[in-house]
Amino acid sequence: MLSIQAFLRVLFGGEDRYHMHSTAMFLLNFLTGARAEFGPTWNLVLGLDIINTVIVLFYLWRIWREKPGAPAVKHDRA
Amino acid sequence: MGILSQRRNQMLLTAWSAWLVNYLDRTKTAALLPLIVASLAMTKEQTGWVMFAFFICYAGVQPLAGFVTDLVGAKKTLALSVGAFSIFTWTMALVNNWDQLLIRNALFGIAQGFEVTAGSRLVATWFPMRTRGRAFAFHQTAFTVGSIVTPFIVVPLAGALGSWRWSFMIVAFFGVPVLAAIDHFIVDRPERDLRVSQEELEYIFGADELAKKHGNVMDPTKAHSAEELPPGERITPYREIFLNRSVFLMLCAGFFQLLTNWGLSTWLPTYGVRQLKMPLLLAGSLVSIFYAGQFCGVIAGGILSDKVFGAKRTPIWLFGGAVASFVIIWASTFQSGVPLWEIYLSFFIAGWFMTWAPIGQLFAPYLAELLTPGAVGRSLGIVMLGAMMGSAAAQPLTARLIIQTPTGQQYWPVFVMFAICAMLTSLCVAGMVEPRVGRTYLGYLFSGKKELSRGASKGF
Repeated sequence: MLSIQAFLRVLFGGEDRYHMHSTAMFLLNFLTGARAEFGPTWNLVLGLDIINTVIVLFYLWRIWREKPGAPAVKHDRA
Repeated sequence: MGILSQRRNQMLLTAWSAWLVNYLDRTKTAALLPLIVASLAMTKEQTGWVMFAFFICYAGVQPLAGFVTDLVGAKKTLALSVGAFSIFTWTMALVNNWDQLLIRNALFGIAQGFEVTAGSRLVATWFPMRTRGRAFAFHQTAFTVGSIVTPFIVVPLAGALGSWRWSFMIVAFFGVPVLAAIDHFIVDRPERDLRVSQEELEYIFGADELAKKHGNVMDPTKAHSAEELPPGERITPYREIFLNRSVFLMLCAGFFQLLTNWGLSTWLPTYGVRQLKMPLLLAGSLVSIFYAGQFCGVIAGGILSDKVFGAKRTPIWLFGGAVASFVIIWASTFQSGVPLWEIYLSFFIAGWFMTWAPIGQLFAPYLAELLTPGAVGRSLGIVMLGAMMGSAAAQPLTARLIIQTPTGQQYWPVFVMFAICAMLTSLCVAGMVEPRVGRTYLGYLFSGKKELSRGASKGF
């Protein structure tokens, strides 16, 4: 974790960007416990999450872009 | 294959699957809670807040969900709910402390709140009155099946893979085939579906209604004449939906019903262990017996409503609360040493008849027939708001009424409260208009089975 903190300090350019650094650390800490529990399968977990999300977003995009259909012509018997 | 080739049945099976995955998540969170609590080092109070967040957000979002369902369409609303199920389920696998879990459960309650109004609206729109009761009964079996089978899926998964988190990772994918089915099979209205046959449309609407109505005004509150509406719908202004005695009484009945239902199903294992001195496994089986009773009750109620009562809905509800009340009073007398078959029988019957109530079954057919299928989402949203408040109130009320004695806890005051609530459910139903006869069902019986027209009835 220490090396990650050092890396973030370099990345965000010192104390004047401290708030950005803090945000990034928060996100890292957010996942730390779960990461420890998943252990060596962590990358598999992230891969599955991404696949799941992409499929879900694809279907939501497909379904929500559908325009409401007109009544089918064959049923219009007036 | 004949049954599944009908478009309405394909739609019903898809809505059933969506309702199943909805309950899958609720039940799996509860089933894995002991593991989650230990893993995140949560206190009892924090656990209570996490569960409360789900119920209060689920209840609060219902009116909005009803509006979205009616105005955007049931297909989009259902897809949104199932998509959120999939994504929130895997995010649950990554939580690290109780406040992350609380936020996730609150968001989950909001997302899941959109399912019930969408599924109900679809069944109400796609099935004719004479089979709507049975179709909706099938839809409602999903919550009983989900509640019964989920612990047998998620607990072994967590055990085999070494963490409760893996159960969530795997169950998150259950929503994907349901989303694909929604995309492929669901169309909001039968007459707008290019794959439906003419015969099936005539079965759903009747040939006369189909020939008469070709309107494009999808919202029955906005139409000025019947011809502007699609088949199966009638003009229903907002005041008829929201200033409606029967809708208000249904809300009250739902409050008392869900208070009893969720109170019983949540506290049964603790009652079994503390009052009846049963082993934990046996006490846990009381919940399965209760839900097995609900499964049978849902199916029987739908068949009886359609076949025996001629598509009348309120007789089933009148009967349900009253019978459940007596059975719960019987169960309140049980002490340690009562034969197991007697305990099982009482909670099986209690489960059966607690589904014979306005939020257990037949609510979509009832609202479609009282108002119109196009207003089921909005009216049900209001009713569900009140009903879910009952389920949220059940937990603290039950906890407060348990008596501590030198020999252990006593639950009889809790059971008396549940029995009173079950009876109040039936009393509320007694004041609701039965759409088939245009008056309350008791009024219809006492008047020598005289029917009133829709306009003559004050309850519409």
